[in-house]
Amino acid sequence: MDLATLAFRTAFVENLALNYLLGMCTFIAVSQRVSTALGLGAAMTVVLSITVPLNFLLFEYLLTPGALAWLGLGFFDLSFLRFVAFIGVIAAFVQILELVLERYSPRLEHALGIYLPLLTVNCAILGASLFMVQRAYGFAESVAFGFGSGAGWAIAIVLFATIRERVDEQHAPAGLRGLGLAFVVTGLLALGFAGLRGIEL
Amino acid sequence: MLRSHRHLLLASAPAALLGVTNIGAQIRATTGSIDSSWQTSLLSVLGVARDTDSTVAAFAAGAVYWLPLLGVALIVSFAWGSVFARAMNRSIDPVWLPAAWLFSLMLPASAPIGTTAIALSFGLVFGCHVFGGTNRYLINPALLAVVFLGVGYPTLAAPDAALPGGAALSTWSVIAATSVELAQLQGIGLLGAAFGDEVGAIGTTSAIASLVGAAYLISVRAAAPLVIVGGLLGLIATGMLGASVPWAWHLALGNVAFALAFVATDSTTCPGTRPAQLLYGILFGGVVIAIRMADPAHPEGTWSALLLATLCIPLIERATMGVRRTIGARNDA
Repeated sequence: MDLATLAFRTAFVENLALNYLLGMCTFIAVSQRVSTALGLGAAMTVVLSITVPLNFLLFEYLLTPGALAWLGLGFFDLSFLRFVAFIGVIAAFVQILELVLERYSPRLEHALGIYLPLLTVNCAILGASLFMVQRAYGFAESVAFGFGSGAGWAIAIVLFATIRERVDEQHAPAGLRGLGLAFVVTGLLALGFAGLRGIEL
Repeated sequence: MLRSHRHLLLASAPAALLGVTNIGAQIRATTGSIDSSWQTSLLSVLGVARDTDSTVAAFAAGAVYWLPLLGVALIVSFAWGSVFARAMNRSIDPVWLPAAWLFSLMLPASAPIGTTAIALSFGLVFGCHVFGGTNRYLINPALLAVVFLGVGYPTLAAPDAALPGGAALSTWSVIAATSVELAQLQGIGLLGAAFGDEVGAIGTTSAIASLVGAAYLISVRAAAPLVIVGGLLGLIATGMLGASVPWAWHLALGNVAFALAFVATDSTTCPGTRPAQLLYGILFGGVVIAIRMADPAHPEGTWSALLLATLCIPLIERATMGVRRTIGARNDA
């Protein structure tokens, strides 16, 4: 599978939000307004495109069994540390992103509020790094995969936010207003993306 | 019944009649010995012998498969309409009639009746009623139901599902698997396919009847012409980008023309602004060919493409409004 197909497949077919339902808390909470959703989508794309390759390097040269051979410690297997290590990388990177946003786009930083620092523990971001290990991607593949999953998540949340703005909840059954309809719309989006599942570039 | 619904039923009636007659002829040409269902027994009871070769006999054979599906669809649709009318304390949503009608035409003749009832229930409840019914739903309920059928019961979307007993591959699959030239040698012609002489869904095979219906809908102002223009543009543009099957074949085969004429133009889901209507059509036409050609399995793809395009409508509307706003601001400056 070449890199373009991998990025396309991750963005549309194996979409983290719509296929694996990862990062749902942020997905539902920050999709009330399209502009905020767009900002969060961009932030996710940046975070994922950088943390997945970073975590690949970390895993490949420090954690995987035999990775420490260059220190003469080839018998070490530190892969059990990957959760802690990945979260550490993600947390550090999100901190940097927050500082950058605070400096250059304080309005977006304010609009994202608590959900920006919470990207640290966003399951979509950790999930992407864990998928990268599980599927044994190389460096170039992990770049394509990180970008594809971020872009796919961004497309999903922007589409979701535009639809949510349009839904008139006044006429929905009382029990479904708000969260209920949000989940129904998420399901419809997933069904829509499912149509692209066979496409190969 | 709403005015737009009345026009829709009238406009799609020729496509339905041609489609049902065609599917009857296809069933009579291919099955019979393999297919020992109650439908064939009913046909012999009715005295429609296998060897009489007439249009009436073909229509009867098609109707024996179509009418039960239509009847069940009407019952299911009306039942859900009543449930939500009672629960929400309002009158029965008029969408029940066109939704059941369109859905029955979009089905393969081999569809089991119980399964179609489940699919239509899903489409009506999650596509229409939970959003508040006509003028508020996001996705045409018949469209959602038929996509649900394809995703939930993949055997019904398989290339050999069009006729009972898996008697023949759909014409689109034959062409996609070989080539237009080889298909023409087998006696499949563009004009014949456009008139509706092809193996496909019950009511959607006739592209010409669908386009005539679309012209009627436009003439009575019940459909947005730019959606149809956009759809054709999308088909032509993407088809010219190097698809091995020319765009005219894409339009003539499968459900594209029917979807463009009667489902994409649904007044509830259709975009409100002209640029958005055009873009929506183009997106639909483009995605149809993308799914048909870029997927090695070459699925028919119309319904998934239309669902995806419909889900993008709010985004398209917003984007085109944004463009207009910036252009307006620039002109003001």
